[in-house]
Amino acid sequence: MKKLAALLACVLMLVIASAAVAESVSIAVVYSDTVDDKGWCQTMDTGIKNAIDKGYDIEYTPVESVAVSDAPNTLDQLAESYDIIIVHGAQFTAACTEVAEEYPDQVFAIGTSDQILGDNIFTYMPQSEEPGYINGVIAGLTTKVGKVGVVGPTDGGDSARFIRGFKLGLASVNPDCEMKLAWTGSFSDTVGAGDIGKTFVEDGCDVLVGPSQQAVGAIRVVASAEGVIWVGQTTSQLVDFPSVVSAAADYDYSAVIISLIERTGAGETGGVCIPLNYNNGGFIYTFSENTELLPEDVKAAAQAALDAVTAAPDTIDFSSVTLE
Amino acid sequence: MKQFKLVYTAGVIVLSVLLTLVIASLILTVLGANVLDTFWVIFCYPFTSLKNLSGVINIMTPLTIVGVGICVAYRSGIVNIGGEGQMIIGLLCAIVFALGTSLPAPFGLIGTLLVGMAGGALWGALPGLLKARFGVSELLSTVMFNYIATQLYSYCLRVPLLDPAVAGGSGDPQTVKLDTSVWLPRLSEVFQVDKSFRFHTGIFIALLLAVIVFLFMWKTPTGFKMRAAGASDRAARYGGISVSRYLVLAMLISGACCGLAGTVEILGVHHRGLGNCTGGYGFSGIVVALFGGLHPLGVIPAAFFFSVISFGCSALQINKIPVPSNMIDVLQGLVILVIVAAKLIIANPYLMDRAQRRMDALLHRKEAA
Repeated sequence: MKKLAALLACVLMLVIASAAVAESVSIAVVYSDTVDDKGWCQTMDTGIKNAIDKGYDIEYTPVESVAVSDAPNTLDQLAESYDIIIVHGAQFTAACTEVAEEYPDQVFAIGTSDQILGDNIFTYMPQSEEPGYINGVIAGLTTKVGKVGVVGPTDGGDSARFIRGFKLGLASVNPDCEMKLAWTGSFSDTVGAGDIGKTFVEDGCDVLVGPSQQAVGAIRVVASAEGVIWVGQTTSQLVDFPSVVSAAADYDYSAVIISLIERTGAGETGGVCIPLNYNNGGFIYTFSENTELLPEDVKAAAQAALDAVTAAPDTIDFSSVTLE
Repeated sequence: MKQFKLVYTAGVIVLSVLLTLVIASLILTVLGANVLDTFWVIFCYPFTSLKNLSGVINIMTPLTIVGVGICVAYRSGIVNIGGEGQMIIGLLCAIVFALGTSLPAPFGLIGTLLVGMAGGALWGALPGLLKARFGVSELLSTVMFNYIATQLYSYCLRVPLLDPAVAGGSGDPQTVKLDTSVWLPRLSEVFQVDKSFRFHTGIFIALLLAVIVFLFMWKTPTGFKMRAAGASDRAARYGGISVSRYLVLAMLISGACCGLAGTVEILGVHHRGLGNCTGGYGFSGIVVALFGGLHPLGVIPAAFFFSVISFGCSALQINKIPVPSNMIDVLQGLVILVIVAAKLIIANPYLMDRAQRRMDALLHRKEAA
């Protein structure tokens, strides 16, 4: 009888658990660009699809190409029609916080931001110092001339964290290595990124790195130069430029989506920052199989650094790093 | 003649609508979207609730103000493509004033609006001066001034006016929120009416401005001289009008309107300085002005029409119409292009005359047969 009762209890728990996962959640995502932009928006779109693949029943409505000036109107229309409204872009923070104040029962989530913005707003923040740090380790161990170049977009958001993490990783394995840094002032200036990349190559840098989708301009320069290696930020770079990209990190926003669904299911409405890191599966790191680009000893050192970062999140003190 | 004009106008309108429907239907069919649903969302959804209509009015407000400003310049014989830059400088000056002073309400609000106008006026007057004194093409100078304004604003957002809350590297460059005493209140707050009346009171400023500019341009000697200078600068000079002076004055007023548009957008919608917050209204205001017949009062329905289309198109994805966002812009552009073209065809006497002659010839041939 006891066994039967225990069996019934197990079955009941399984049914409840599966029902919890299967419960449909309506999510609208406000994007600044299209979901096939090969960068920022596409990573979130893929993250939602990954969450659906993991068994979460999501009714997903993407709202693409929303301008900052239209954001208040768009959010106003979406409010009270979805379980969660995700506002994917820090440029929408002001609009999101204002509209959220008017709809206290509507759950919002905005990224990237590590601030606590309101009781009904979750924030999410990729801890990009982690992939930046691993890239720094690889760059520091790969450079032969001791000079690496960083093609920066703007000193803000997760790019700022990435570059500071990179500097720390570089210094941890090669303290004498010189880090050159220049900004395009934009996240989408492919031509500007190419110009900076060319300048770095002509200046003698033999390893280059750069966050944001604009970096493709600089990778093209690296691909046409002799003996220069690129340490990538997204896996697509590894696929598109296999002859020059030694490794790449990638986002998986499903970690954020799943956390949002579980938190709202448990009754939370906001006031929390959800991190995206290696520990919670928010980042994926991929190494090139080409040993000329990534020798085995460098790969082993990078893997060790990756393991350490995964085991101990929130330990890279990027905020203390100053950029000249 | 009158009868033919009516038939001609109706014919052009019907043909334009048909042409738009056919091209848009083709695009939508290829994309797999329901044609009727799409058009319903674009043209009818904006009127389905007060909330939606408020959204339309909030878009219409800056468009009307910029459109009125553009009319003044065009009517005075100078092409102002610098509306965007004048909006930016206007709102930048307004933000600096609002953050730097603490006047009691409503003086803070009035002062901020006036400073915004002054900023835009100054930025507009510079190309006017360059044109009047040195003959520098306003097409070149106003576009260049747009670039300067954009970069100056970007610098101010990132350095002197940066919100300390985002200074740590997380978030987007922005200023701190302005004090609520300088915000343009919503209609629902002013009159304690239904909360669905969400549009801000900037629309009344826009409508009032259109009327004032109309009275100024059409009912005062100065306005007459400005329009005379715009209609024919040689004739105006012959009549003793200082064309260069009125050129600068026109750009001053035009810039002031655009500066006011930027300020109203900040005080009514965003309540702080943000990147790209002008929404390209400085450019779309030019199309609105042309569509409105370069008449301050004509700008009002033109801006309303553009706002309806803009709001309706942006609502397509929210209403789950499967049209990619890039194609939404194509549809919007197509509708506007055909309508503006139709309006120009109707207004062109040469085309109408040619059509009438062909029609007469056709009728005579039939009679002869």
